[in-house]
Amino acid sequence: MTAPPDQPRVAVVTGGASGIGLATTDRLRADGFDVVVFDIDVTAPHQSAITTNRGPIREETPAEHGRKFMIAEGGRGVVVCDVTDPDDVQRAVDAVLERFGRIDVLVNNAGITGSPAATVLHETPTEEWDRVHAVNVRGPFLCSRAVLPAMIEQRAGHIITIASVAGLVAFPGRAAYTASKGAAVMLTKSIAVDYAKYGIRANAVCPGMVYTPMTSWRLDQPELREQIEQQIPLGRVARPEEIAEAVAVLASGQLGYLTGHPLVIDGGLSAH
Amino acid sequence: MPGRLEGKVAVVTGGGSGIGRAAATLFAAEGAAVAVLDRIPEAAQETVDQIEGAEGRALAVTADIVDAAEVQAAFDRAGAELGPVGVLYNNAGVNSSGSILTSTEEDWDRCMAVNVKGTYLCSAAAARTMANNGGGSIVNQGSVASLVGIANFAAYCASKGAVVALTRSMAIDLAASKIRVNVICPGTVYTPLMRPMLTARGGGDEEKGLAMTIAKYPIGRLGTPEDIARVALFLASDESAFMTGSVVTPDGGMTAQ
Repeated sequence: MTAPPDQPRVAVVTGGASGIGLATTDRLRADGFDVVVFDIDVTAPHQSAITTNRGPIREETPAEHGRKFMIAEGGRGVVVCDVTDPDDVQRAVDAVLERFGRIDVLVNNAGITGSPAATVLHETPTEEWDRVHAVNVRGPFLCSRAVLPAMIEQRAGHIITIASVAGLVAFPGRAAYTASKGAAVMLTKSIAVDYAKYGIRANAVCPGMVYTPMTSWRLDQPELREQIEQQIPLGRVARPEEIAEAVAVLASGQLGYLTGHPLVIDGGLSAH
Repeated sequence: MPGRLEGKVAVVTGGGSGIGRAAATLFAAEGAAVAVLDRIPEAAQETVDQIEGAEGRALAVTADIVDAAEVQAAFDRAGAELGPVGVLYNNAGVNSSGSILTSTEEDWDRCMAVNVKGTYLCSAAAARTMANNGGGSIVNQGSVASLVGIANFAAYCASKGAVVALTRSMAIDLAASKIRVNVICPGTVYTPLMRPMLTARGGGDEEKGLAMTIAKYPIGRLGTPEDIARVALFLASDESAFMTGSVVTPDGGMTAQ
């Protein structure tokens, strides 16, 4: 691969312990980033993102932050962090800055679809609406807000939000998710417009259907999978690595004139 | 490390200047054999010379892309000399000038012919080969003018809007043949094509027109041909394997506002 003009170094991936987040973490790591994962689930990152063939882990608990902070060999770290909690997010970002001194890329990946109860609008429980928006909208808001001062100081940075093609066209029977992803797309554009003057870019990635732990309950049902794949012109769902590939290309700085853009990776789903 | 287009044959239309030349040289540097298609033979040859100077593989082919016979002959030659075409970058395009009240019918016809019919003819020629060779990637050239209105660019806006719609249609129809089709909608790129427009916008003062244009871009600069060529490379390569029918806007935030 062509060397990007200025190689960034430190990336934070929220929800980086599974699915698209894990694939992104692996890919950015392979591209030479120091990657810190923010994940709410301490067991998942232990088991998958960190320990697999990556050598010993040191556990650090910086007293002033009060967060568990684990560093694997080669600089990859995990901070246990609830992206919907402002104090938690600030402490996690402070911990990263203290250890690495900068944050070049934030990948707002953590997201949820909501339970099966979060369906068409008039049947959506308020709690489900709030939970989906807390993770999918408040999360990117809090994480972006926390990293922006450092990025402004650096006069560089890239905030990449994993939205969804549901942020551009509605997913049937998924009102809360669709609305939250629409908000994530416009949050991205707002950051792009307001922070371009500091050399900071913001882009969204809008996947269609991807096989991840979040979607496997549907895709593991052969009939449902066939039904879904029939709607996708490329005739298949995506692998998480295919989304990670796009994040990696964005993070590399190669597409330096792209900002405020929702990059659609949906196998043609939203083209018709 | 192998290039990102290693072993592929690419056709870049309008490859004799601007974004097309940047893309042709980048594709070649990433391992593609590139057919540089241009209406002006000397321009195409100059790009080929640059590529060969960097030890890349390229071929100059001449065609006016509004002429079906010329297009077919150009693709036949590219196929015969370089191998089956797997990547097409429909970069060639022309500007227009004026609103619907001030522009000429000739201007309209030329703009629609090059930007829309040219894209159709080249895509059809490429897709016939790609369908018989396991697929390929077609990258079309839209513009921010596909998405928002630009003053005094009526025909250009209409033609570029058509390219986006055509992209979606091609993406649906060609997916079964494993041909991906995506469109780039660049913001203003500083190329030779743009200079008369900038001069007109600045009331005869190109510098003033340039400043007025930059003011529309949150990122604070115009695009470079290389900015757009790198997006084309991404869409041409297998890195974007799950993307088809997508509209990608390297526009420095212009349409995010």
